[in-house]
Parts: sequence; C-alpha cells; structure tokens
Amino acid sequence: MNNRPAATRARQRGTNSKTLKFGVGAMVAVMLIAYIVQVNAIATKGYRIKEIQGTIDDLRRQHDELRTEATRLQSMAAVKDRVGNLEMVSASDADYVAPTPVAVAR
Amino acid sequence: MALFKHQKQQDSVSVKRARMLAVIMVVGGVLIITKLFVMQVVKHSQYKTVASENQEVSRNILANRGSIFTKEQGELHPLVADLNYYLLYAEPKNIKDSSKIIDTITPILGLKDEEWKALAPKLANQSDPYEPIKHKVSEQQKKEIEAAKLEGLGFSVEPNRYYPEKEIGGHIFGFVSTDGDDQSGRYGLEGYFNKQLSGQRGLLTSIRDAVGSLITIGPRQVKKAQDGSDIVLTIDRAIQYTTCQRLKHYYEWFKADAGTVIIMEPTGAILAMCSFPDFDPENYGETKDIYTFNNPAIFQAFEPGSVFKMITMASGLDAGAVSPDTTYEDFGSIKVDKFTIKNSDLKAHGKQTMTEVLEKSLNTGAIFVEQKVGKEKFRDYVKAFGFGQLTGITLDTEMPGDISLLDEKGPIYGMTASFGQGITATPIQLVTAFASIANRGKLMRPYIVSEINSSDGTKQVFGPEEVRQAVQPKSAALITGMLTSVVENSYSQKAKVPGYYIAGKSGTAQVAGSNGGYGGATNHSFIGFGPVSNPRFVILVTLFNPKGVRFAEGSSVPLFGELAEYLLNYYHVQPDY
Repeated sequence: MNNRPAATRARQRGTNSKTLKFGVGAMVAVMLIAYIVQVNAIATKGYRIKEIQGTIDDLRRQHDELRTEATRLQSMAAVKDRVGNLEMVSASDADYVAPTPVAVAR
Repeated sequence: MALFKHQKQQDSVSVKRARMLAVIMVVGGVLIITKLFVMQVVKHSQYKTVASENQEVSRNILANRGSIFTKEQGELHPLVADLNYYLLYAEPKNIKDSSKIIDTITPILGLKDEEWKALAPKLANQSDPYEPIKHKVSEQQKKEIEAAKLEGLGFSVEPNRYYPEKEIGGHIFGFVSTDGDDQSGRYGLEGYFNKQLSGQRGLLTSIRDAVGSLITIGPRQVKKAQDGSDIVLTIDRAIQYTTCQRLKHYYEWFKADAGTVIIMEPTGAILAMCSFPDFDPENYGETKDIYTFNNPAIFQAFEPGSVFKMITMASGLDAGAVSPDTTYEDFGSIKVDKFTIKNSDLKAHGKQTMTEVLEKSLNTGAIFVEQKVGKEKFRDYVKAFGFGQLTGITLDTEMPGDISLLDEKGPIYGMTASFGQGITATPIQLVTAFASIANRGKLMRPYIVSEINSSDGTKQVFGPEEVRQAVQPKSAALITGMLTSVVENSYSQKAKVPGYYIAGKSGTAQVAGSNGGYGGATNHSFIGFGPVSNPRFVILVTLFNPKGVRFAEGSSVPLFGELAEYLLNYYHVQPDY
C-alpha cells in the first residue's frame, strides 16, 4: 500500500529525467544547427568578400586603362596628328604690342 | 517455474553481454581519447608544423614602381608609368585540341608564321606541364582569348613600363628590365633612381583552402608594400618633342654618326635633352648595339674644337690678360717645336682684335690668349668651368671627359687645348660652361629632377645649385658681347633670329683617328644663348661626323637657329629691336 507514493515518485523521477534528457538533447541539436548555420554564413561571406575584391580589382584595372588611354590621347604625337587633321598652320611672325602707359594727374 | 528460471537465466546472459559491450565501448573510448591526447597534446607541435606547411602560404606583395612626370601649369603629366600586361601560358597536358588554340590565338596576338609553327608541337606535347606563349599581352587581347573559352590556357600578370609619349627620346629615361617579379632600372633616370622608383615589397602570410586560394576570413599577417617614389622632371614636354623632331631631321639629312641637343636654363634646369641614335625604352630588346643605351649628352666625350675658344677668351678677360679690343698679329700659323698650328681657313689675317679672333675663329688668336694667361692659370680656368670632372647630373651614365694633357709639360698641349683639341669634354659640360656665362659667371649644377614624391607623402624639391663663380660678372658680360658679335657678324649668322640678340660660338672639331692622327672626320657644334638682354635658354647642338657638309655653319648652326626661334616664340619673348 505504501508503494504507490514511491511508485509515483519513481515515475515522476523517470519523467523528470526524460524531460531533462530531451531538453539537453534539444539544446544540443539547436546549438549544433546554429553553429553550422553560422559557419556557413561566415564562409559564404568570405567568398562574397572575395567576389567584391575581384570587382574592385576589375574596376581598378578599368580605371588604369582609361587613364592610360587619356594619357595617350594627350601625348604630343597624338595632339600633333589631331592638329594636322584640323588643318591648323604655324603662327608666323608675331607683333608685340607695348601698351602706352597712361598717367592721370589730379 | 521452469519458464521463470529460464527467463531469469536469459536475462542474466543479456546483462552480461550488455556489460561486456559497455566494457568494450569504454576501452575503445579510452583508446580514442588517449590517441587524441597524444596527437593534440603530446605531438601538438609536430602536427602543427605539418598543417602549417600544408595550409600556410606566404606571398610577396609587389610594390608599384614609381612614375616619372613632367609638370605643366601645375599639373603632373606622366612620361613613364606602370601598366599591367599579361603573360599567356599553356598547360599542354590539359589541352585537348591544340590546333584550335593556335587558330584562335594567332590572329588575336598577331603571331607570325614562324611563331605559331614553332608553338604548335609544344602545345601538342601532352607530357609538357607548362609552356609560355607570349609576353606583353594586352587587356583587350586577354579578354578576346578568354571569351573563346579555350582549355589549357592561363594568364599571369606582368607589370611593364609604359611610355605614352613617343618620339621624345629614350636616353633620359633608360629602361626597366624584368626578371620574373623583379624589375631593375638601367641607364638614364630608371638606372640612377632605381632604388627610389622600386619601393619595397610587402609580405602576406595567411592560410589557404583545399584548392589553394587564400581564405579571406582566415588569420593573416600583412606587411604592406611601400610603393616607389614618383619623380617630376624639369623637362618641358613641348620643347623636348620639338627638339627631338628637329634633331632627327638633321641627323638623318646629314647622315651623322650621332647627334645631341641640350637645352637648359642658365640656372641649370634641363628643358630638353635629345640624342640620336635613339632607342625605344618599351622595346629596348630590339636595340642591336648596347652602346646605343649610353646617353651621348653625358657619355660621349669628344674634342670640342672652336667652341672651346669661348673658355679661352673668358679666361683671358677674367685674368686681365686681354680685353675685347686687344690686338695681335695673325700670320696664319704658329710653329711650336716640330709642330705647325694653322688657322682653319689657312689664311693670315694680319692685325686682329680679340673679338675678331672669335668671329673668324682664329686658332692663332686662341693660342695668343692662352700664352698671355699662362698654362697653369689657363688649366685652372678650364677646371673652374667644370671640365675634367662630373657635373653631377642625376642620370646614368656620365663621363668626366679628359683634360689630363694640360698637366703635361711642353707648351704644345696648352696651345692645342686653347682651341679645343687634345682635350675632351661631354656636351653637358660644354653647355653648362656656356650657361655660366649667361648666368653672370656663376657655374650651376645641371639638374633634370625637380621633385621626388614618396608614397608616404614626403616631398623632396630640387632647385638651382651654384657650384662656383667661374669668372667675374664683368668678364661674363664682356664675353657675352663678343659672342653676340660672332652671331651678328660671322659665318654663324644662321643662328640669328631676326629681332633678337643671340650669343654663341660654332666649332668644327677634327676627330682623332685610331692611329693617333687626325683624319677627315669632323664634329660640328654650336652653343649659344639668348636673348642676350635676359637669357632664357642655352642651347647646345652637336652633330658627330655629318656627311656632305664641311663646317658647322652648314649643319649645327641652322638647327640652333630653328630651335632658338621656336623657344623665343614659345616663351613669348619680346624682340630686342
């Protein structure tokens, strides 16, 4: 007759033990999943950073190409060719004008 | 009862088995933990080393080589810069169709017949792991080849020097040779300032993944590269270009062995320096003669001839030995020991002033002045004008010339030196000496670099530097007047620019032959400055052994005149009259 409370206690202990085990197991599973998700996210970001770095390098290369082309177009030989196409001629003798100094007396 | 007993026996067996299994698992677990302990604790350093060798990677961070600029209206304009090209290489073991590759890349790269024919068997060789195909592949060519998606090809970056200005001469810059990742400057500015232009490499230490790429978020140590310094020149781009164009015309017209023009300010800044034969620094490997890389303006020491009479006369004026109106009797020749020295026109001119000595370029007159000054004092003046020593211009490879004959006993050596024979000088020494006259007698150090800008922001600025007072300002003024008279009244009238007073002296110097005597070859020079009232420029023109013309009046003098006129217009200098 006194077994009932003991049995109940034993069942309760068993239930608590099961709950604890289930809880711990669930936490481990959640943390494991969270860890995997986080590591993947970091790794993905790492590759994304690498992609962006590649884009930066491409843009830098394009900038260098444009700067090189601009420099080439400004070169003396290129300017001379364009001047020739414009049919410009060399200036002949220049006349220098010396301005007459003006003095105002009060 | 029997059943119960049997059940109890079975339970006992199960328990024993379970216990045995548990023991085995515990023992296994202990073994595993022990092994892990040994690997991770006891042999930690050993495995760490193995892992490091597999995962750690160190890569050099290349420094960008400094650029070379000229300054125009406050803005920097590049004359030399770095540009990335590519090396196209093949991995023949990964190539499935080598003929398709040849057909695709030949028109893109412009390969000649002999080039692609030599390449074909190399690409077909399946045992070959690596084969370089072509250097200096441009970005555009790379894109076209990549678009064809050919297997077995790859590109690696090759930094190269880029020279956007063509036909402005290669001697000033020199060139950069590449050996793998190493760049090394040779000759000119690239050689002289190689250390400053190179900068310092950096180092990246990180870990790599299974395919060998760096792990972006992994641990890393970076020592940053220090880029090379940029150099700003005193060169004026327009003057340099025009000078090279005009000199090239005269060099080719007269089929000269070589030609040099130097234009500088009286205070030493080099505005233009051009020489032929020239080389293309971007394709220096195509130059056949290595001697071509030496800049004649600073390397080629030659007997200057009659241009040196300016030095002799300036010495005489400064020593008080002669004045512009001092006279002497010209008999056309002078006998010294077993030697007879004659005037170049083989004539006797009678009574002549010192100004007329310069106008008619009389050897006997120069000897007269040298004798009046005295050999030792004359030698001192020659040294005071910078001859026999390096000027210190920041270019590779300068030579000092040779005035050692002035140390010899015997009067003949001083006499011949008085009209520029028997001693040698470089063009830069000669133009610097003339510049001292235009600068009131002060000898200045020639310089071609005005700024050096480091990558850390520090700036070094260079300006005029006085070497010494070669002659007194009064002597400089007197000789200037005499040299102006030379241009106005002598055979050098092609150096004149209408409306302006220009001072200068021509020289047609004999060239010593290999047997020690003088042959028929001559070097033609003209050195002058203007406008005389306020000199803005000094110009030296030298043509080495021009053909079909006897005297400098027909070769270097008219070139000087063209350049002087150009500069006077370029600087908008008002006429003197």
